[in-house]
Amino acid sequence: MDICDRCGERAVEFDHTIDQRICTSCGVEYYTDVFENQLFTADGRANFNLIRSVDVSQYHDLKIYQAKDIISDITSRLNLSAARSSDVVRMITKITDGAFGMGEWFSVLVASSSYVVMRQNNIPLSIAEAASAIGRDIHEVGRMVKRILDYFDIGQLPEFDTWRSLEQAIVNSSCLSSVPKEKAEEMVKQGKFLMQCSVKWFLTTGRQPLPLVAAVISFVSDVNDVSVNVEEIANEVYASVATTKLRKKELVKTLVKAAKVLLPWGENVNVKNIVHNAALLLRYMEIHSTKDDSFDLGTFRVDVENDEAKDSVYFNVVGNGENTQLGNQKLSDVCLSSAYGKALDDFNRVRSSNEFGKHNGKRRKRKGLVIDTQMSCGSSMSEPPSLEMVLEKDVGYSPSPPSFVAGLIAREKRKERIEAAKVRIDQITKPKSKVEIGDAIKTSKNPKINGKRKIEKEIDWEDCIIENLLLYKVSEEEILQGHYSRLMDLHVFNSLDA
Amino acid sequence: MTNQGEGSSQPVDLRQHPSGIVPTLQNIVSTVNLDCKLDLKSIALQARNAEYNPKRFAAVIMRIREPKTTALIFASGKMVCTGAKSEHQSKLAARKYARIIQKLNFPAKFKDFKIQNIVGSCDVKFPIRLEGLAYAHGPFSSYEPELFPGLIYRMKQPKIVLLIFVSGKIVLTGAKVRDETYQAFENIYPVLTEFRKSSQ
Repeated sequence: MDICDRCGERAVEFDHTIDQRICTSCGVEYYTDVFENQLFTADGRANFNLIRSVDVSQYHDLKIYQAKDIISDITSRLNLSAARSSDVVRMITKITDGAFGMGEWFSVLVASSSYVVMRQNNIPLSIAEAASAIGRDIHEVGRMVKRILDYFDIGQLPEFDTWRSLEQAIVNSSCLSSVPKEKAEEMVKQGKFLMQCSVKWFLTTGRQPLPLVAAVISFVSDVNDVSVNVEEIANEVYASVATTKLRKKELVKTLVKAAKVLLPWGENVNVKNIVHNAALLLRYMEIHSTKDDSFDLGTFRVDVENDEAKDSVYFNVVGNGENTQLGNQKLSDVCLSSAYGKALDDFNRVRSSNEFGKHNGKRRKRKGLVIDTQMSCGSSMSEPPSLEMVLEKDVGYSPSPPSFVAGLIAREKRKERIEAAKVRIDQITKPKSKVEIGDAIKTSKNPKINGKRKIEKEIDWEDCIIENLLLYKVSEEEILQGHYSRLMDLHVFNSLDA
Repeated sequence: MTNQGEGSSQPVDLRQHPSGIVPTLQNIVSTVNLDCKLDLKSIALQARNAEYNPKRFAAVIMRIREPKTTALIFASGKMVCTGAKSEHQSKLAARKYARIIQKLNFPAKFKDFKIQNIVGSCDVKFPIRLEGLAYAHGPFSSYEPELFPGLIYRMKQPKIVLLIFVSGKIVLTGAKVRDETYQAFENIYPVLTEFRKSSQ
């Protein structure tokens, strides 16, 4: 048996049924034997047409065979079903007019086609995952995706389904494989609700979805006491570790702000203890979003206040005025006995209602505090809600996008710098009188005159530019925009125009 | 809301800019034909403000400080001038580059000066729900946050591309004259207000 040129196996045999030599290993047909006696004309000259036809035919078959091999390889790596794979083949056949292709660009085309097919069918496949499957840059795949969309005139693809992506990531994650099923389900529910909140809070707008998915998984793991490394989660969902950490930080900060608004003890919530309050906060926001009035932390706030007022009665000191002095407080025997008696009554009442120890003694028994933090969104919303539905929901807190807030803060800082620059300009253009200068010298010789030393803030490059622009009569509104380079070009380095 | 005109302290003409916002021009790209063949190596050797690396890019890159611009000078005599902040500055800069080439003993002329692209930007000062805009204006929009954080809006008339960001910042590009930029912004502004974040 001869060696096959394509697969290298010694498996080339003559097939009598088709009168051709074929490779039993890879299936390629060898036409050369058929044409061998026709390669030269009767007078001994080479018949180039025939030789060429043999080569072209073989190359074409080989190319298609290898192309289909690449397609099946990449689609299987991306976990595409058989139906979706055939969609990809159909798409590529149409794009290449059935010629398929070879080379590195072809694998980019296959990955991009797979991405388009999956997204058209609302199956979460990210460009990052598609690019990772072929070891290419996401922007290379993105450019090819754009060309495919233009070719088929598809327009806007359905939005990336972060819901399913999150669910798949939690269910299939190797880091979370040891988590009990009930807990994993609770994590999925919390994660789904957090994803909705993130959409509403602009944490997803204009951002890559996968780092946020990883951040949400990491956060709900923390909430459910599941020890998972954020790097591991990020790598599993094909998200950048740095971006994932950034998103998690942003999510935590936003939740803290939400807790400050929504929880009665919100003032005490910070980035360190938000994990302990998150389950309750999420449950509260979920109930708030469904407009269920039965759960109102406002009433709890009143309860707490009332109970605290009631508790303080125990410490009402009965007796003469000297006992009311601070540091000298003493409780009367009557008061103490009544307090103990009341506490005993409360204890008996709680024990008789079989609620004692129900929550491992961690939660204080108060009206309104017995809260089931189990999320319910998973059962009622197995399908991802539409954008309108998400936006219509009122979770009780609606912040502006982080980039917008950052813009406002930057603008405020510029405003302060402008004011400071004006003061500095005034100090130079309107110098102090001799008396004032004398006072200033005295003050500078004795800096601890008021017990505090005034530290003058050092000016930086931005202050200098603002000062310069103000001197060139540039309007404050333009300076507030922060396009210093443009303003310097237009107003300062523009002597030629003048 | 800004009430300042382009590069000046003049109040906004509300007939021309009903939104009350005037996009600021950030970059002007112009081309000119010097109408003579150029020896790029000789230019690079003689001019202090020029760099030339034929392996990397087949043009001399020349910079001047006033107006602060960069020019790409090709051996065919064609020149691209970028970085100017106004049309006037762009033309002035192109003339200065042509003069430099003339001083290097090339018979440079100044033919077919044309503004090729104007880039402007502005801030509508409210957050924009990009997902909703992409959905409602699908045929004109391309919003793929996996690749780019902004929404790319391809306006048909005038033929301008707008990059719209969630923060309310807008970039307008593709105009040949500044009025196209202004017109495009006035066209998009009512659309953006539809998708501004609703305050609760």
